[in-house]
Amino acid sequence: MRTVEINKPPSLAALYLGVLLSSRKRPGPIAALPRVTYVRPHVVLDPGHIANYARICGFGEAHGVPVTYPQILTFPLLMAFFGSADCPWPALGTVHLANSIKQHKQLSPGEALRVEVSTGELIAHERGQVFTLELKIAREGDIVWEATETLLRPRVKNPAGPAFVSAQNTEMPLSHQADFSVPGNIGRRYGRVSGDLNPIHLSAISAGLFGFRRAIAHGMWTKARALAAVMPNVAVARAQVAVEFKTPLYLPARASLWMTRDGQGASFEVRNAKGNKPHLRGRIGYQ
Amino acid sequence: MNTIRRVAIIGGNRIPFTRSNTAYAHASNQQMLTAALQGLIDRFGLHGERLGDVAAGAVMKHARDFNLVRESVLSTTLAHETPAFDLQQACGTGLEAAMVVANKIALGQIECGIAGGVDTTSDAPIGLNEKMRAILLDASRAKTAIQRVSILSRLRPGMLIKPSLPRNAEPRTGYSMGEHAELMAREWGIGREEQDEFALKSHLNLAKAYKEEFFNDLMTPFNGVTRDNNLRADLTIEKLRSLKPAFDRRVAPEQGTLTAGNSTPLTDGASAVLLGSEEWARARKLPVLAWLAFSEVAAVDFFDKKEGLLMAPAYAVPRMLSRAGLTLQDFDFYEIHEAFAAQVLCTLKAWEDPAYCREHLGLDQPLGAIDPNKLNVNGSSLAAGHPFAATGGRIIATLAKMLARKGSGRGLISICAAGGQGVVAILER
Amino acid sequence: MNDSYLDFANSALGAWLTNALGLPKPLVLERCTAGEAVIKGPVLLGGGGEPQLLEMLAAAFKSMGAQTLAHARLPQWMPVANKAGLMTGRWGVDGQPGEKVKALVFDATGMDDSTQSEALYRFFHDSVRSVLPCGRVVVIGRPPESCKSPRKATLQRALEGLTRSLAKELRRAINVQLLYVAEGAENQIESTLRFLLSPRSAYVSAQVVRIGLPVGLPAGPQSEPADWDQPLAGKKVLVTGASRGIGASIAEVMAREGAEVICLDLPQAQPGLDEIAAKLGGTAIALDIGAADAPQRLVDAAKAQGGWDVVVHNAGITRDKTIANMEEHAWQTVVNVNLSAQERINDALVESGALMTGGRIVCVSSISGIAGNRGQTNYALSKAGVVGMVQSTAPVFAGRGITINAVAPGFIETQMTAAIPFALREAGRRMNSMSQGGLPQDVAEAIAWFANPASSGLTGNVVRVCGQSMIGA
Repeated sequence: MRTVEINKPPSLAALYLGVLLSSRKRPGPIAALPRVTYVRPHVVLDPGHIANYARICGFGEAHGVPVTYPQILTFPLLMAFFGSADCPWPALGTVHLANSIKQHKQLSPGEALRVEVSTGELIAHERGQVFTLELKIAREGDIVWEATETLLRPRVKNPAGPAFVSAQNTEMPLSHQADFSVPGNIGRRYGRVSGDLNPIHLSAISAGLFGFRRAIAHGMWTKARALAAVMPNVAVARAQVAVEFKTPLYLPARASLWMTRDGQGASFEVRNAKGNKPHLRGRIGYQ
Repeated sequence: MNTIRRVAIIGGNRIPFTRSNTAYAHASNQQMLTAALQGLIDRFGLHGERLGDVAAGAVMKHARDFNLVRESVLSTTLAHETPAFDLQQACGTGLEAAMVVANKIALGQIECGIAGGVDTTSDAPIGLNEKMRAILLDASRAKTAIQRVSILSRLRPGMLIKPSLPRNAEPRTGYSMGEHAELMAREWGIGREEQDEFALKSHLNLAKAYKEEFFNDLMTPFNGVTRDNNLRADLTIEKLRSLKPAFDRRVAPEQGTLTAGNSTPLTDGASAVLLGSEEWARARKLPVLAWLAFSEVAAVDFFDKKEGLLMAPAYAVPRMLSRAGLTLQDFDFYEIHEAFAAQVLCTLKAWEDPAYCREHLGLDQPLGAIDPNKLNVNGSSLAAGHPFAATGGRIIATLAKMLARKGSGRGLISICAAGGQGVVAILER
Repeated sequence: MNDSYLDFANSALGAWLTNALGLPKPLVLERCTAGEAVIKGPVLLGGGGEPQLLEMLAAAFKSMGAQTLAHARLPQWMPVANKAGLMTGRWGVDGQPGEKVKALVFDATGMDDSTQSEALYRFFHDSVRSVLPCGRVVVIGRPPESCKSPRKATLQRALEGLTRSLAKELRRAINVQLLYVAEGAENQIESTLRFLLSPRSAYVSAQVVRIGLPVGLPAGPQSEPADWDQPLAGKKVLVTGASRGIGASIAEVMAREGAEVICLDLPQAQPGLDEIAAKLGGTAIALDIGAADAPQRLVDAAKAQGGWDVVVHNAGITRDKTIANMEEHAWQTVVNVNLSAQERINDALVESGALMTGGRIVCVSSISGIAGNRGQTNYALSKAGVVGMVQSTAPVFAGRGITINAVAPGFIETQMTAAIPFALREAGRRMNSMSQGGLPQDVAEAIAWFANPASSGLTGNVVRVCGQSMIGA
């Protein structure tokens, strides 16, 4: 296990240069990911940034530090990983398949955290090679928040690892809960706050270069937007949220939120305005 | 001084209820109430009879209808010497009217009477713009023509297109009834799925009642309508799930649970019930469907003490039960008016909650659960619709007929009303 | 066979033009289609005096699934209807007319004296404007001949003038009938009400129908059909002249009503006959009914099939000439086939029991037989004779539980009428209250009504299917 420490906030330009250069990678099938951890040892929760993020995603003040927010802190590490030789594939063209977050303790603005991203495992998917990244955030040595990013490199022949199994229960009937609008500029706004300036989110033209007919919303924005409606209006201590991304949400759009609550939490989907095509399906449990 | 007499429920009649601005869009309160009364008169052959009293009311009413019920009586074939009066207690109007008439019968003041209610939200009283009204009143008080012209010059065209519309909202909170019910659902943790399932059951029960021709002698067609047009016999849970919350915007943004499907729609309709003393019914060989045995009203402080607006029946019922010496489980049928699925579910939950029963209702033991198979077995307002003042008459007649068909038994009526009020009663046979 | 003026008058341009020019405006008549409600709209009831039929009307409307409303002058209706389990109400509130209705039914059985006729005025004055197109009006009275009081008999007879005039006033394809129900026959009205109030009676108007005590009772069979949509289920029905035209249509309607059809026609019509029999899943008999051995052969055929339930004498021929120019053979053939043969067949079938107890004989007469027609002395004699036969044999057959009735078609759109010269044809078509010719189906529907097992109270009736033709009225 190798550890790469990144002490000062890296320059985005440098990261993106790495990402663009990574596009030249042309790997064949691989047997295993290199075991490597990228670390930001000291990150302070910035209240201004949190408020900015919350506003863009639809969270209220009462939600405190949104459960999806800490993932933003891992973004430079992800970019560094993709730009490095540790990642066998280029960043562009990698598809976000699922994201699962576990928060163990309530977070507060101003706290100093240690942020880690480690390589996970390989999973075989009918569309290509799936790999996971483990995201961990610790406060004074305690892990307070962790997440698993599940990413797909499409069109990899003979992918390695066990077969992919969806974690989402599709049996649960859902009710139409709300409609929300997805503004045309949300890709640029969320891109600025998260640092994820993937051209497929920014504009129709830039998305067109990668084969999308219009810009698409960030999956993590869609997830955050849904949670802003699903979560109770209080800062929760413990929560588990797992989502799978189903179909791209083209900008701008009207989307509908469907959900059902039960004793342990809620299942939800973000669908198109008609409610017949899911963009994202998820499940949240909270205490 | 006479002794207190038993009060017989002889029969009822209503016109089918229709959603606002549909089949009765051009029918007035007076026409609808007249039709409901006339049907009752026809059914029991009361032509030319002088009844003791007719009490009814409407929640939404034009100023010109100050004597609505008496005018309606004059349009029927009852003796024109039948007195009548208007009363209003929001959604409790119909049941309150029956209580008033019943009390007169019980005390021997009258032998028989009709209680009813009517409401239209289609033919709603639209008021003049407040500013315009003030100007017109000032003008009428002016002493000279010049004064009048100068006052009238304050009129602006915009006043015409901004009339004062009646609102289904609580004056003291500014929240609509639906918003209050949403707040209650949130307070009591009543979920969307529960409410949708409850609404579905109401529709299925009402559809079954129609299929069994239950209402054939409780209803007269009106304007070509022969059944409540809000009823969706083919309703499915999927359809209910697909509806978006309707009252969440101000009180629970994006987290609402009340939809158009699990709330009552604005409705037009009228109902009436015939009450009489035992002797009067017997002398005329009229049937006695059931006896109106007990009644009670209660109100809650939804403003300072922040009690749920529609929780008053939760208070009224235990008071009435203690007077009657009964428990909540001593009933064969429960008719709990479904203003919102959430309202019924909150009330039932409150009766099962030991802390609430102790702290709010002053009871040592919670009232407990009821058998859901005895609740609103022939459907209720979610399916039939809810023309505010007409709901009481619908419920009394329905429950009385159910008791008559069963042969003997006891039924509980509970109706919540605007202003944090609850009107409840017990029918027996 | 097709009436292009009818189509034109119901087109957008044609409607405007016929209106502007004041031309007759025939409506496309509503006709019976399977699976539809008996009456497509509410029925408004009225009554005079102390109406005697309300309970039976309530039972019939309940069975039909009809929605009823009562005129203000009939406050008795609601308790009676409620008792029968029918939802009903009052038509209109506070003296105002109520909604549009599909039918008016007036129970005049309780009216004893002409001074009470004002009830009729009040009811029809208030309601006729509210009848929907293709609506129905039925006035029910007591047969004048059986009224004990002369005044009552007079008033009851007077009803006919009202219904015939109403039929001419209402237009819009609304037809009006008078139904005389004998005392004790009140429970026999349903099959007739179902016919008169439904689209089945599309081309029948201004007729007088008499319902008497059911024939053959108390020994007679149970008359209520198990299924009103298939009242002839399990019944064997002979239709003569079934290879084409009205006969083919009769066979089709009988099959629709559930009957097993035996189609009969001349041997030279065999191809068409076999075709229709095969189409309807019935059997075919090629036979000249005028032949001397025809009655016996029919008895044998019937017995081989276990007996027949209904015989429809539809076969008929014309040999038109003025009597001065007519050959004797033309005279003899027409009278033989159209009348004498039918008499022989009826007698044979009834005597032998080949036509079973509870059986039905339905004959086809003609407007010519009623009104007379130049060049048809032979034909008119035979068809008037059919009326005579129906009336004279009805009491005889009644003893065996068999009814005999006739329909008399007016102008019916067939190959035969299509051959009439244009001017004459147009006159025949338009000179009736419907301003159009009838269809073979209209005749067949009337025959099916007489053939219905529930029509035990109908015998000796002659009903015209003529749209209230002005000829012979």
